[in-house]
Amino acid sequence: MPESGPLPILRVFKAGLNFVLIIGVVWGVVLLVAFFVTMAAPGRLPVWFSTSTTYDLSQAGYVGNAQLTCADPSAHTELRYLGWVKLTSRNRVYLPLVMAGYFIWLGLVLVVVWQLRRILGTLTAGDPFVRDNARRIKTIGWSIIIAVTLKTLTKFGAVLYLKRIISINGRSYLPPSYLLWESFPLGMIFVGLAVLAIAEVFRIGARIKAEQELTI
Amino acid sequence: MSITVNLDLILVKRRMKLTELAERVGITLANLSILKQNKARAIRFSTLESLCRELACQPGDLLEYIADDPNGDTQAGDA
Repeated sequence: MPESGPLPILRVFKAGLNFVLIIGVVWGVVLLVAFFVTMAAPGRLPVWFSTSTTYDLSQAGYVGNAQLTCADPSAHTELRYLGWVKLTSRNRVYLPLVMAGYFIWLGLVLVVVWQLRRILGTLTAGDPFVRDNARRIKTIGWSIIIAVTLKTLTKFGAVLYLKRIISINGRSYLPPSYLLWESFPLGMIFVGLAVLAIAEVFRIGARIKAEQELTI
Repeated sequence: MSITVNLDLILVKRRMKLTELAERVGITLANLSILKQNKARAIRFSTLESLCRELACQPGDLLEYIADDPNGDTQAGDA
């Protein structure tokens, strides 16, 4: 049991988590509504892709004078800024897939934030070594691994979509080959695995604590 | 549970209530109840010492080993 109250930094952290949680939920709801409204209405859904075209286009010397043509009749693309492609489309296969991946990623981020908040609650209550926290940390670990993998796959899905429909100066858009191995978030996967290991430490800690509590 | 605590038996013999023992030993009533109901996982030497002192008994009077029966029942060990 802690002799003093919770650290002030924990209160700041909790306030930060609350803020992220609220913003995330509001953002998700707004995007979801916007997505369904634009898919149902005759309008088009604008999606911005970064797709590492900064590197790609500048390497090819396209910056500033690139002519983008689009093979998808439901889509329209513009090269907006250095490496940013604005795509407006009503494609009913690729875009919902990309959006679904994005929403699942957002959901998992919110799951991580929510579980962190719950763990923080037990920490301020002075009893963090409980079985529930081990489960929460395990959830966080898996969420990180799944979320970063999914986000990467979504990004590749978007790149593949652009590759199919976009040609630059008459040549088909070629996503850089380094994209897969360089942007795959191996670091975050390791973070997820480390969090899973910590979850195991907490599980054993919770068991030892329960045993210690039954030592008279 | 192979080891049982015969605290209730000794309390009856000494005509002492659990609350009184708790006060004299300096253990909370809740913890003493855990011990009495055989729910404890372990007992500290210091606790055992206090109990033996206040109840004027030996550790063997408080604790008893009951061999696990292969059929799942338990019986008093006579070893």
